[in-house]
Amino acid sequence: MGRILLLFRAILIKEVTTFKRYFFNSMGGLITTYLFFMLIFWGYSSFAGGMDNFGATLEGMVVGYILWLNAIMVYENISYSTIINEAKEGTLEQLYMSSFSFGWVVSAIAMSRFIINVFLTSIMLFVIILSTGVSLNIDLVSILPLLILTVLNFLGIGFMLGGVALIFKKMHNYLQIVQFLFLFAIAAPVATIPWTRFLPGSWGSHLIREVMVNDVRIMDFSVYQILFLITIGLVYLALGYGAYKICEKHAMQRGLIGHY
Amino acid sequence: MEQNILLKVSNISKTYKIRKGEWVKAVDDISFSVKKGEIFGLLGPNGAGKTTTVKMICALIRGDSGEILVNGINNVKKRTKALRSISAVLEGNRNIYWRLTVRENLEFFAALKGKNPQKIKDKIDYYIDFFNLREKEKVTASNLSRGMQQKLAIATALVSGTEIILLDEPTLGLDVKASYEIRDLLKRIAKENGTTIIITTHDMSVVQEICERVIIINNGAIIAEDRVENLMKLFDTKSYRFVVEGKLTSQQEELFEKIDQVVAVEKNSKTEITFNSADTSLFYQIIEVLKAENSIIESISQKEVNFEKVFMEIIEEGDKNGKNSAVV
Repeated sequence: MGRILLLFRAILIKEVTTFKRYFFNSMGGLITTYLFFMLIFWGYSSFAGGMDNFGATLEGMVVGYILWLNAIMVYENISYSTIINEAKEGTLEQLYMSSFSFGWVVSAIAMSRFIINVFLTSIMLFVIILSTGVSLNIDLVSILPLLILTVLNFLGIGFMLGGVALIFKKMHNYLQIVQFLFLFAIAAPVATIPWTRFLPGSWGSHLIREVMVNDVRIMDFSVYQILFLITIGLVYLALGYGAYKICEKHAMQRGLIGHY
Repeated sequence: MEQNILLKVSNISKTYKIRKGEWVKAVDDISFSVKKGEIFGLLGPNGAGKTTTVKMICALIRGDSGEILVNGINNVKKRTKALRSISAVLEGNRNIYWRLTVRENLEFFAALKGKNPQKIKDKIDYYIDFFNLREKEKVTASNLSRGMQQKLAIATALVSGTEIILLDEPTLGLDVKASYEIRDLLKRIAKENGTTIIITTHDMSVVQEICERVIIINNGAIIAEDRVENLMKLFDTKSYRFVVEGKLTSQQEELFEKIDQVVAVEKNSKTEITFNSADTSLFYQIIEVLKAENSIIESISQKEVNFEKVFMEIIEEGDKNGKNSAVV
């Protein structure tokens, strides 16, 4: 375990250092996503006939948008940032040749970036709350565990696409399609259309919305609701990692690791 | 495990599918071993199977058959354990993180090999000094010169203290000074640290200067394996060049045509006669033929054999005798 912590620490330091070194650019990305949200917000506001008609929909939209950003960041961290970018830069083989299995390396990268992302999206959430005047329940004790379990879904999808990226390398257009699928999954009405709770991130988003919009605490959820969240998260993670290992074996047989 | 054998490659083969029903054999039943502290060259023309072999050693490509033991550990069955003994620089200066500084790169790569950077601080400092990077230790890799980036890439492979380092084209794209510096450093690493170095390169002067033993691969198979000095001896030919005034007589031409190693070419009212042979009596034979017809010899020059020539001879011989024929 000590060795894994050492790996995690090294990757976290590397990610934070890189983030700080490219702070200006990172902030640019954050401003773009903020402006994108505000455009949606103003558009919707004009369509709905003003802020007063939003009610709980606006709060749900803010939570949904923040979750969507997290989802994109988590799965892109594996599929795009790690596999494609590292292959492009020539360092993927080095990660593969570490003294740890590649699964641990990627998980450490995903966790490190998740921490950075939570920090970034928290700033974003704060600015959006200030800009829109929306009121949300920021109960971190309830939100963080739910968010971590929800992220497992996106991590699984990330591994799956990461495996495909290992073989095909250039697949940016497909990655964009997945972004929109996530948007649908996060906004899915799980209460009225029950099957949608099986979509990646749908159930977790529903529970987080309950906390942030309807002031529900984590303890208020039934054991079944939490168990379902854990189960679906682990199933997606296992399926994604399994698919990744199959792709990795295929890539190793064809000599594709590291090529771009 | 045989004494001192650090890497043992046994009968490895690899076939790639090109398209439906079309396969190409990249590596064909290759076996060799590398001893502790040895500087070993893995040579061959483009497409010979060097990269596939190296990547199979690094467990980045899975072979069809055969076995690779790193320090006695199977690199497929116990991949991560075997990889603790190997570091590699496969993409030259692209193997490092350009956004990190010299020190940050060294710390990161040490951790990637399971070493705590805090505990090997002295070793990191040692390699910063060893590679003359002290002044640049806080500079991001993107702002280093190509030669310095290459030195940093090699340093990152060494910092974790792995016993074997694999270097793919370590001097590629470097200027003469940087290339010379890298060669010198590699020799020192093997001598001072006892690190086993495996090099693939097209730069035969690097091989001649630093490698102790080499294998030459062509069309996926080993066509030569020996110590560098033995291969040099094997092709211990001396190349002579005579420049003679005017044309050769028909009698002289006839005589020279009978000797395989001699080539006579007319150039600007002069004749250039060259021959490659270890047989020095041939030298006097040529003199006799020229003397008999009173030809005036303008100059005689001699060129020593170098490893590039040896390499070319082996490849050509291999091609002549069929792709898998070994000349040694």
